[in-house]
Amino acid sequence: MEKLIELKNINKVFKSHKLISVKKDDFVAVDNVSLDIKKNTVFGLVGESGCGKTTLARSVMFLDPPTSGEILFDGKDIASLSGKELKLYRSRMQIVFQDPNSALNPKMSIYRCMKEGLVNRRYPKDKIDTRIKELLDLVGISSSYVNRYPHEFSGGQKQRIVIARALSMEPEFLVLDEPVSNLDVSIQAQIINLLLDLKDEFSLTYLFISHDLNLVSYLSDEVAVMYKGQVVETAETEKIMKGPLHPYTLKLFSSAPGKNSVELFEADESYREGLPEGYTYFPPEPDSSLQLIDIGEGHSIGCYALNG
Amino acid sequence: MGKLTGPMYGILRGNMEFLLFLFRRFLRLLLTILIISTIIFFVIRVIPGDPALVVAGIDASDEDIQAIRARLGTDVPVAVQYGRWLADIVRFDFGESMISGASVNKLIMERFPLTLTLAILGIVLGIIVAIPLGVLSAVHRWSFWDYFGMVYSQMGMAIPSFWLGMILLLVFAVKIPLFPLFGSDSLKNLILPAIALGFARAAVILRLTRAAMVEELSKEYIITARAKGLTNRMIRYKHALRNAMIAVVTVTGIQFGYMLGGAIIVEQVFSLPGLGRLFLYAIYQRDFPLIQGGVVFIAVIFSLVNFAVDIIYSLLNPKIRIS
Amino acid sequence: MPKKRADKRAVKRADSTLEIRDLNVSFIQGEKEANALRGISLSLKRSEVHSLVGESGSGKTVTSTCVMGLLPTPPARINAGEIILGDQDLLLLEEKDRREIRGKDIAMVFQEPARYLNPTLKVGDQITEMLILHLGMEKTEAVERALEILDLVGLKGGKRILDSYPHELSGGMKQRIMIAIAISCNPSFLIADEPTTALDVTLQLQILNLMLSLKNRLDMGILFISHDLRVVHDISDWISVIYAGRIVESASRETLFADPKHPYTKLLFESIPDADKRGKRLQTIPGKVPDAENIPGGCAFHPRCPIAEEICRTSQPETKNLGGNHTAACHFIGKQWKN
Ligand SMILES: Nc1ncnc2c1ncn2[C@@H]1O[C@H](COP(=O)(O)OP(=O)(O)OP(=O)(O)O)[C@@H](O)[C@H]1O
Ligand SMILES: Nc1ncnc2c1ncn2[C@@H]1O[C@H](COP(=O)(O)OP(=O)(O)O)[C@@H](O)[C@H]1O
Ligand code: SF4
Ligand SMILES: [Mg+2]
Ligand SMILES: [Mg+2]
Repeated sequence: MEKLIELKNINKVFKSHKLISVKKDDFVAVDNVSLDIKKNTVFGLVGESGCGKTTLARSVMFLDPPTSGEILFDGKDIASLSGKELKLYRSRMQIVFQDPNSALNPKMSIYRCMKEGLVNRRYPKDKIDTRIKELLDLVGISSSYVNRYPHEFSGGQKQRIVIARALSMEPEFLVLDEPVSNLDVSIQAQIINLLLDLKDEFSLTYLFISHDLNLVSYLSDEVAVMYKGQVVETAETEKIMKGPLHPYTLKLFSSAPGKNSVELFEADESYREGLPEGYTYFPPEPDSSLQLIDIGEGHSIGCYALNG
Repeated sequence: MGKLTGPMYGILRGNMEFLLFLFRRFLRLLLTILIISTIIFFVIRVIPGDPALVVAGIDASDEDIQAIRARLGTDVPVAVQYGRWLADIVRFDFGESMISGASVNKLIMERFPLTLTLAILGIVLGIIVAIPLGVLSAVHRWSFWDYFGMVYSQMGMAIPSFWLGMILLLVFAVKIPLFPLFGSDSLKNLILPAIALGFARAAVILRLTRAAMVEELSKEYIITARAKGLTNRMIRYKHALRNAMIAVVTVTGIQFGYMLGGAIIVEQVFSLPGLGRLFLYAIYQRDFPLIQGGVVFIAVIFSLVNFAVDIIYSLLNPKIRIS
Repeated sequence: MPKKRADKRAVKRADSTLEIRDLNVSFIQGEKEANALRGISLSLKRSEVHSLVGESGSGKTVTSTCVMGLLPTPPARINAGEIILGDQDLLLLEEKDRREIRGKDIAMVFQEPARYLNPTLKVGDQITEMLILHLGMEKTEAVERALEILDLVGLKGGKRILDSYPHELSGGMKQRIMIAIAISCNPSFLIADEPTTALDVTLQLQILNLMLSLKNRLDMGILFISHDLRVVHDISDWISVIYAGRIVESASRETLFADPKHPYTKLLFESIPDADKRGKRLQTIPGKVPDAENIPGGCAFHPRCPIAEEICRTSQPETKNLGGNHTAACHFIGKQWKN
């Protein structure tokens, strides 16, 4: 399948901005991440809080350009684009965040909030109203509600509106950063079904971020597991669900609720499942660097080469 | 000595960080003083009226005026004057009074102790009234104490201190002679002015104490404290008040700064020979060196108070971001 | 003085159940009345985990704060019900006696440890103050005990932890501190209101693990509140599902997971995504959870229920016992439907 997004060795470092600082505290939030996202698929990104998922997503969107590395969108290096081209590319990718409240301006009616985006991309003026109606219909919000304000909607409805607004840009690629974590269980399913329908209808590609493993394994085609800024394992979802290898993946999977056990998987130093000869999961030296090696059929694991 | 607890522990633990923090605040203090000095320098230069003319009097000859200008240093270009001014400030030397000829520093230092005592007395009285009343109002909302506190703070904001001072004099020095009418040599002389000065400040501190306590009492950790089965007294005074004090201390410090300013008027009413009177006369008489020196002095005191507040604040609040 | 206090330690009650009977609570706001709890009954045994599961706004927190005696009245009003501990109805007690029970017999852990810990008090003091108050310990004795408790909740670092302020600890550590505070006086019952919701998955499991081991060691009964059926699956003995202020179904963990009877419970299970459902559409529940101010008449679930009939709009279903204390409140228990 064709690749839509290619990430090559993405790094994101947060520099400390103190004039006089005691210790050097540059923080590597994303560390040498390379990933391919294929067209019209869902790519799941999982990992514990603070491991760098959102930072990576923001880098991909060029909201916060990466410190180094290449992002290819449809084969084109985003960093090489001029301001005008970049704007065009940006509208082809949209992001939906966890908290719909902070994404919607409380002082703007839904109509104005939807219109803003359309005007921005020079949508024909006379067609704007019909378009807004279509978009809201699409996400299941009655168009008689267009003059209401965000606080008059429930969390699930607000998230639908945010999705409708993202769709108004006619994107090809959507980053969904924990889009249902704040929603009630019974509402989550509505939004997930909606996202899957939209994906089929408009041939969308998703980067789906979550720490709910059950959810990611339900809807994504491929999964990458992130740990402290690095990708430690990536494969097709079914493969990784059946045979997770990296000790951190196992730990994360063992923490998913609903398995009759409350034991976390903890690997000891001798654990080396799935590794080729000459590699280890545990850094032999404190500054050894992690490599992502392909062990066949697109299943890659992060490990360290023994003796150099 | 037993083990270190409380703020001291914090200071030692984050020793280096804390020193850096002090250093940064100190830089800020210097910057403030520089800015204020610059402003006062230029403001005085644009006030109409040549100081030399004021000093010389109406029928002085041109030569006299030139001589006075030279003495005042106003005969050179403004840039040079500014340079000299900054150099003087660094040495903390504001020259001599144009009127009395005495050194500005000496004049200020003679008067400052009285004003400082007055301000301290005022703030202490204010705190004694405001904090307990504020806490009571917050804890027993809509009770007698709360209404009393509300009435008090309205009055405190509305009544000007000079008027209050006159009333106090009239009642407690003239009608019921509990306090002396004149003089400044005993603490007794300062009680009425301190009340006049502290009254309005106490109103501000009271309002803030109440608001801070009400806010703290509505926070989640108070629910935890209740869930622990603690007594109301522990919840209020051990948990809520401790957090409320963080805001109260800051505002009290700022109020203390204001008090130095407010003293100018109150000293006038009670005929106290403090800084206020000194500066007021300096203004009447266009004694420019004294005015300049006085403003910079007050700015320095104000900044020092803020500096102290910052430090106390960081000691009270373990969470302060040192940056 | 110390003698009188020391006595308190001797009179540790050995109550074996905490029972909530038919609790009905409203919030009065001007003209409006929000009926938050509409007849909640729950029974919690010692050394048992009873989970209360429901979506946001269903009344979980109101239930737990009411049991703790922490509901602000007004705006809240307890219309009816009993909360029985041993042989007394807690709702009839004076505030002073209630306070004696809080923290000592029934303790509580909250959802967001960061906000529920005092930011300017060292965590050590936050633990020891209870030991000093409820158990009459001296300060040094309390510190000793606090160190033991830290060990129990799996916090290594002893003295250093006691001397830190909450913001110096990570989220998981803070929640352990909350738990340490809660168990410090060896309570018979612990109410945990979504203790893991603010934590991420690996920490969540660690905390669940901790709660289970503490339950066994200290012989506590735990009322575990959550919005996620899967989270409670691994630790519960008994599960009650709450919807719009009423328990709609209550059963042992095995029964509830194997054979849910109430349509709401069934739909909840079906709407949970997991790997087995790949490629299939998720079952959804149309509409949303009602506000406590506008609870539909009859069965509160009827506007969203796929098998609702006329009677559901008009009459509230009784809670029926389906055997083995498995209860459900629905007019058409067990009726199937097609999607
Ligand atoms: N602007 C910033 N400056 C400094 N550090 C940052 C900044 N933004 C993020 N970080 C740090 O980078 C790391 C990764 O953050 P990120 O938000 O990507 O995590 P995440 O995986 O999305 O977590 P969550 O699941 O909680 O959303 C964190 O340790 C965070 O503290
Ligand atoms: N202080 C309050 N004033 C008014 N209504 C309240 C108050 N607290 C809770 N409620 C209402 O009671 C219902 C149950 O709330 P709660 O127990 O907090 O739900 P949850 O199950 O999410 O914990 C909600 O509809 C909520 O709006
Ligand atoms: S009583 Fe009626 S509406 Fe309520 S759950 Fe049962 S069938 Fe559905
Ligand atoms: Mg994030
Ligand atoms: Mg709640």
